[in-house]
Amino acid sequence: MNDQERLDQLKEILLSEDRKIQEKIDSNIKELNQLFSERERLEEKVGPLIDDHIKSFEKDIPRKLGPSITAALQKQINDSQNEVVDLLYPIIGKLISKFIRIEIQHLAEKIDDQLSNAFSIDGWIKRIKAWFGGVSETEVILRDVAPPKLEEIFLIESGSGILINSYSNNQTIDRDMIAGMMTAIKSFVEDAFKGGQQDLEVIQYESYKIQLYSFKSYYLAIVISGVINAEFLFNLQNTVLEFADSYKSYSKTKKKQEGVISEDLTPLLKEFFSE
Amino acid sequence: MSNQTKKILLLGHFHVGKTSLIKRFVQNSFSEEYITSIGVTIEKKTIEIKGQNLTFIIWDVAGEVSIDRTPQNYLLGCEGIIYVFDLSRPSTWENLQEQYDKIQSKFPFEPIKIVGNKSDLLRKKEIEEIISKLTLDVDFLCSAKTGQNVEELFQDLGLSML
Repeated sequence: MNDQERLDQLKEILLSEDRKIQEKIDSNIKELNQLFSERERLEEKVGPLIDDHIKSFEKDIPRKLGPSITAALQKQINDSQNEVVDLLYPIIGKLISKFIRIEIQHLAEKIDDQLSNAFSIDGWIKRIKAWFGGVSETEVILRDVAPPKLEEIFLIESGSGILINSYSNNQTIDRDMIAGMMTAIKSFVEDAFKGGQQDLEVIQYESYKIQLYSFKSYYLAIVISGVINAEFLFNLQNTVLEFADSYKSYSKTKKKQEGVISEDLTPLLKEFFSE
Repeated sequence: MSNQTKKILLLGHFHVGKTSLIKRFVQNSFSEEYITSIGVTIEKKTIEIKGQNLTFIIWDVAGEVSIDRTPQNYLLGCEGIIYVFDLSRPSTWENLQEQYDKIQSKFPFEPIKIVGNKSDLLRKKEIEEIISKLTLDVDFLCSAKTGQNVEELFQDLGLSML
């Protein structure tokens, strides 16, 4: 064996292991290249991992990003309120318009029902009521759809605004405070507009009306809901005058101690104003 | 036990602490924040005096430099008055006698209590100096902030009204 042959033999001994490793690496690279170049095979391997990450991201997003997103939104809304209003207005406007449309439809249906009964006995009774009551048939129909209802009666001392008594079916907030505030509003209006000896007669809010009937030492505040027509007001005024007459006699017979709320006035109010 | 309801009024310049005194009396609370009263607000509290329940309907009228500028209808049916001035602001007590005379001419038979508020802002000696300058007696030195004499003021007014 000459030197060259020995050298080759030595190379063979020393490098055979490295060659095997090299071949294995080449084979793996080739395999990976094939994997990356074939979409379906790559998806098969990577797909489950991405799915797991997305699931975990979805789960953590409210906790991790929630506060930052909320803060960012708040800042954005504060900084550009006009733009936000411009954006929301059409949506909210549409919602309101939809709500009103439904309510009008509801009202129309009720009126249709009333009109379809126009030739029934009830219909003729309404017509006769309207003729004799001096009101239009529409008013009678509307009153039937949303009939006026006495919600509360307050008997209040003029000037001081101290509640003498009240009658109500509902539990409202403190009636002493209501009487005081009502008197304050009445005093303010009567004082501010210098209309001579004129009294505030009505306070209205949405579908509620407060009719005020002033007498010398007291006034009556009557809270009414529903559609009020002239006939109802006329009848109410008559009832108020009859009540005032009875209250005068009551005040004479029962020596009212000043500032004392008369518990026994409730039956008198109930007698006149309960439906 | 009998129950009585009385309307009372708090009068005085703006920012003397009328609303704060009422808040301290009704809710037992105090706020450093100053919000000007507009128009009138009504508060209510019932106390017991000599075995009787007395309900105060308290009209907290917006502060004015003179009672002449208060809507006169607000004064109707009032059975007791608390006139409040700010011990730390001379402009609120310099015309005290004049204001008292005007109130008394309108309410000759009703009790009127003169109250120096914000006593917590001044030293005892400074308060004594102010009182010595006044031509009428101060009924109570109060502090809506600390609650000093607030309950006593309303108890005393209630007692005068029974």
